[in-house]
Amino acid sequence: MTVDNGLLNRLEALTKIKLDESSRERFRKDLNEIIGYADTLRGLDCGGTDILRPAVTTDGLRNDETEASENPEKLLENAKAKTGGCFETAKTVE
Amino acid sequence: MRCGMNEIIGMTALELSAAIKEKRISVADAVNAYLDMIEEKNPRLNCYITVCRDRALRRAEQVQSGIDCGKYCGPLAGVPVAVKDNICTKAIPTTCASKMLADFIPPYDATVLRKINGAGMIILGKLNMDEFAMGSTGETSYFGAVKNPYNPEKSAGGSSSGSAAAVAAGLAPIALGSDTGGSVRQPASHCGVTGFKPTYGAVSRYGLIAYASSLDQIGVIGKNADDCAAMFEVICGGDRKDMTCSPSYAFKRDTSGAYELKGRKIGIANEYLSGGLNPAVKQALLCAAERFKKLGAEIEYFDFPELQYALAAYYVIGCAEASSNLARYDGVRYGLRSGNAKTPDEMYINSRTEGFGDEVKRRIMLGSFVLSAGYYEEYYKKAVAAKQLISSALEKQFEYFDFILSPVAPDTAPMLGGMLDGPLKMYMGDIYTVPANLAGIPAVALPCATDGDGMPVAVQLMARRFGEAELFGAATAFQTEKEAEL
Repeated sequence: MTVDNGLLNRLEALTKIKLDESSRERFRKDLNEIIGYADTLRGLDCGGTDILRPAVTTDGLRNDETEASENPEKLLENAKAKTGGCFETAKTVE
Repeated sequence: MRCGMNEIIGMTALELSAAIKEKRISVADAVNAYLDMIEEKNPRLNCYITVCRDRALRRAEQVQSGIDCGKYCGPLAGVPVAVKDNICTKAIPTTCASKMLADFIPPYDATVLRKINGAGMIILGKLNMDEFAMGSTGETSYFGAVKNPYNPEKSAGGSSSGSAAAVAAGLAPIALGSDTGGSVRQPASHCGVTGFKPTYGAVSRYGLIAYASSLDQIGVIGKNADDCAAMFEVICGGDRKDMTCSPSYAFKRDTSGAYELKGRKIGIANEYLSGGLNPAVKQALLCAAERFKKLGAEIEYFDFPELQYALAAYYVIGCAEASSNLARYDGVRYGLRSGNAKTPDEMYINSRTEGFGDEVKRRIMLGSFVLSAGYYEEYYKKAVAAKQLISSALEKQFEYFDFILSPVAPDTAPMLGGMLDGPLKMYMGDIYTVPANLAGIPAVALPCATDGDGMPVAVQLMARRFGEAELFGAATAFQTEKEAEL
């Protein structure tokens, strides 16, 4: 498996992260090294693996009841822009 | 007789609380002693991102009144504590050592914070760390690297670098960290203090800023295992806000000191002694095994071939979960928002590009890669299979062994900058710690030696899931025996 410029472009699009020209080559090299190491796993037999098995089984589920949540005004305090109790973003509809 | 500052700083957390209850010192004396130490040493070591001086002094008065009237009577009442900066603290900045969250002030406390406040402890401040807990040297922090108190030209380890260095340098008697792949145990080893990672599900993760949710656990760094046990008793237990946290588990610290190692079986994997292990680390492991033997334990060796998959499985799963968890940083609700964006897409891209450091970007990209169409089967699914394999292998070993003994890291603390020539080299240092996270078992790093340069070396003791009582019993017996040797 090789990370080429095409795959790097795809990963930038997926992650919403833009790499500058000076760091692209370093990222490509690092990702190739790490994925090369992860290839250790490729020979592993996955038969019987339940991908959806939870990491741990917990012994309690809470009752399906509504409860008070955090104060919405408090939750808005960290937003860079807000209007009328809502988060404000760049215009989404032209 | 009243105690001086040096005496206060030299006390364990349990000794400090006892001295406060015996009125040999006041809570304010304890807090002031640590604040003075922070003022003196933090500019050089960079352990703290935020110091809560005024808040701590106000709280010291409240706690003193609470102790005097019997409200706070637990074994850690009156003890100052420092908190890794990825654990949410209401009205105190929680940055995750990232430019992305440099201005973030949580509107709520993490469950562990609620518990330590309820135990009458005092928050000294928030500790430096690798950005979003991604790193093993403390160097990925937006706020600069933490220096190792034993040699400031060396790394303090990571990602809970500030937690370990602060306890080692006397800037906190005890600290909270988080451990996803060894982030409490490895810095504890590099700084010569005790680092404890609980069983997955023993401590609530509510308010811990998520890196890899199936592996993350809040842990403790202290001067010894008994302090860690006391803190664990405070923070463990079920939480309705974290459904992966077991509601039926309870831990009570054993104060009798009567844990008997005689006849206990301790396993060492043959694979631990091969590969690129520093000779000083290997020697420390063998000496630790001898000490356990002297205490009556039986040491046996076993094969652990599944270890070869541990690191790759950890990084694939960890990065996959990180790519999902860190998708929330889009500049909308909290965190950095780029001022250079006209459209929503530009806002997402520019905010994330400007807000995250390189190691975080690398792991998000790697995570998106292993989850993407065409690679999911080859990497993510295989990693989950490896996780289940390792978990089953360790479970089987614990049918026979009471404990497993291993190195914490293949080497002692590296020079600052020594790991910057490629992330894979840094990742390799996690080989001995990640199996405990993959299997969800408890583990503790116990300092036990120094290398030729005087840098600390620790060994790791692991127990079966929810086996903390036995783990602390053995760890305390080991440390008591070590003190007797000195």
